[in-house]
Amino acid sequence: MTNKKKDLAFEEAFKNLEGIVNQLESGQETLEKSLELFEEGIKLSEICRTKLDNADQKIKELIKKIGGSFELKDI
Amino acid sequence: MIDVNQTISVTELTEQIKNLLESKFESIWVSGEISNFKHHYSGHMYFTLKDDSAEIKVVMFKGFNQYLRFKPEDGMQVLANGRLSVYEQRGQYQLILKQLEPSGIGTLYLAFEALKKQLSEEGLFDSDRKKELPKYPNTIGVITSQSGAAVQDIFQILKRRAPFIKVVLRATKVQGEGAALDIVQAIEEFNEYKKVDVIILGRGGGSLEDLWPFNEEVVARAISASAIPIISAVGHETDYSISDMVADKRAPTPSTAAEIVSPSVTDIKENVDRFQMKLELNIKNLIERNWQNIDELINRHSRQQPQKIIELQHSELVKLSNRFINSILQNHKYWGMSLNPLTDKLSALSPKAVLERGYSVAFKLPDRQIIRASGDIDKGKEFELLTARGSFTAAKIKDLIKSKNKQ
Repeated sequence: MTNKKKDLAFEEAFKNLEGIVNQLESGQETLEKSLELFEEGIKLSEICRTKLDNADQKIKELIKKIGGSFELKDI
Repeated sequence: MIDVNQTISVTELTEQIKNLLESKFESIWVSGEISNFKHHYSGHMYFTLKDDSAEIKVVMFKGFNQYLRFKPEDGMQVLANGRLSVYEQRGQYQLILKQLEPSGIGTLYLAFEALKKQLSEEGLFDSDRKKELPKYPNTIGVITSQSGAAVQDIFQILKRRAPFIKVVLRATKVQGEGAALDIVQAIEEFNEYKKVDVIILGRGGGSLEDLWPFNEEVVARAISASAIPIISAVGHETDYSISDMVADKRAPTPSTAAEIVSPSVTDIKENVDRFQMKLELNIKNLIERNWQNIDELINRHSRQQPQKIIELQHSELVKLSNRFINSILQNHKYWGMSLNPLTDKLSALSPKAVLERGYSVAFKLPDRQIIRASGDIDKGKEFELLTARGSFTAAKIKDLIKSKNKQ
């Protein structure tokens, strides 16, 4: 799996997973395509679980700096 | 007879009256009804305060009346605070007001009703303006006081329900002078920052005065203009603020707001598991169906047709089945109890059984792509041949029959 996929936001991974399940359930895809979807789906479900399990809530404070850029400060 | 020495001039008398009255009534609250109200173009307000048997002229200068939270009207019962002033040239006295409050209903309440009416007419509360809250937010923005109870309530709920969600606090004042503008700025900053999916705006309970910033027009307009959905939670269950009405969603308390925006981690995990089960079932059924098809094909045509045609579809299935099994094995820790029945079933229709019948699959190297046509591999190149028992490398020497497509 590419790094880009690992960086997926949870919401995105979850939505993609849902989409893949629907696509697969439609039964319209070829075997080859179905298997690709399946593999993709398994990876996505793993990404979702990793994100859920390794969650250590991060709470930051938004600070707008002079000049307009933003900084996230630990609380 | 009149003693001329004992008379005083009108000016002297008026001066004495002035001194007497003005020192006696430096700051006085008067209750009465407004009549003859005039808001002069200069900005000053002139009217009369009266009751059943008396009346007094009143002026409220622009510098004071600009802070009024309601619009005075004839017939309104009010409490007025000010000083008495004598106007010598006319021999008149009047009240110069510093404060004016409607008696009966409070000023704040009237202001609240007026703004509510105005914004409602503008359509700011319309349901079709309301943005949907994201179902699975990645980051939640929080606008509240850093020292209030609300912030702790919100953090606690989010930690319990959805620790995978990032939280960004923009601390603001939530009551008193400057709070409304601070809140407006916070909303604007989140919109500039962009990286939050939803904003919780709120504070705990308090008096109407404490909650007032959330009833200010500037705050209402900032909420309405926000591109990021906002859930408003101001005060306790029964308090309704203008913010609550303009926001995309209203929560009775800050804790509830946190619950509404955060999907529970347990629920989500169940969904992920359910999706994966569906993936498994679908692909398993698909592969089973395909194996049945190919077995039928082999049984029906193995004597009449060249093996090649069958082989193509067949080797495709071998490859796909292997990938399927690998995918499952790699993720087996999540399959738990469902793993064994699944692998049992798969081995029953294993590609190996087919290889046992004498078929082999040729893979291009190094990417292990299945060779479907003689043109798929160049002369002299090595490839891998998979048999029922073991695989080995071989090399292509020359083409014998051209593939059907190229004839």
